[in-house]
Amino acid sequence: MKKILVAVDDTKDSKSVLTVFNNLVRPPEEVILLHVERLEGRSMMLDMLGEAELSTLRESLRGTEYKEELDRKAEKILNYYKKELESGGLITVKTVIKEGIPSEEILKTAEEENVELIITGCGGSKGIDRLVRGCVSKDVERGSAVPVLVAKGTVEETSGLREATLAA
Amino acid sequence: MEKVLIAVDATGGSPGIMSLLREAVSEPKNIILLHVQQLEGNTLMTAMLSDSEISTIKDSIKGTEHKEALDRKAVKVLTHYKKELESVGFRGIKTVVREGHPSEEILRVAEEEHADLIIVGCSGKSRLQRYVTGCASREVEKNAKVPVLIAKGVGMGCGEHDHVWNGREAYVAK
Repeated sequence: MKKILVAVDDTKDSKSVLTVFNNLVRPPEEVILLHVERLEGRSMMLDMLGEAELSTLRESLRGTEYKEELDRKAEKILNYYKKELESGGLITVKTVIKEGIPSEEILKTAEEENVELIITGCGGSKGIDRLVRGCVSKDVERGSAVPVLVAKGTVEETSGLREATLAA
Repeated sequence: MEKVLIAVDATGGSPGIMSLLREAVSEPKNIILLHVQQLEGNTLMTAMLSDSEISTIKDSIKGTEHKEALDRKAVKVLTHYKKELESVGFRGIKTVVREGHPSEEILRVAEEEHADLIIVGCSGKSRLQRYVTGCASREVEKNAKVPVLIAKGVGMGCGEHDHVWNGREAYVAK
């Protein structure tokens, strides 16, 4: 397999993608490591916003402290996972930051990069959201043209990511 | 990887599954091939039936032609995949037939067999049902304790935006 897309966020659940990647998947030549910044936090609102509203939101957030915070966080998350992935062997890891609706950005990036498999954790949706929509949003599963691997379970020994990414 | 559970519904899915097994996932030592018989066809009904009702159905169709046809299909599908897998060198293949809700049986077998990974397509549901609840794979993905790989592509029923709402077809659901 040449290219795999791995979507990560700051949740503990997200770390299960590492276990899956190390144990269940044949090492690919390249990994596209994607983090999607959720501009409006964890509300369910986002799904109701149209493209136009979303781009207004993007516009208005540009240069604000909030956006800078998101960027810093994104970089920390991606650095963490990049290191972890690279420690497993000789693979190229390309990091990508997108903003908007996670499922849509995952699909868009998967298409742009021509990946052959998408790996995503169960994070990003919690409580009611999870109950209603499942782990990956329905849209990733429905819309994806390539197989989707949903990682499960958490890895305790790599704890500290949350602290690492959220501290400072 | 020790064990992978592959849920198969119809014979068309083999190209997708083969390429996943050979290229995407690490080589499994054991493969469980599972086929779940839907006793009442592709209606929405089954989701509303409780266990006791299902077991009544199970009893009442025992020995009927309908059940025999289901059994023949199960054997045909499972042998098809077993042969395909063996022809490319996979060993340690076990076939399992269950009756009932596909997603529930998939989860149950995965647990009983201690599978490390579940591979599912998007099959076993009518279009209306898929539209309403998503694929069986979604219920599996939501509730499974182990990773779930949702296969796509030829014959897996899920690719090509297969379950985009199509009113007319939904009403003709078998």
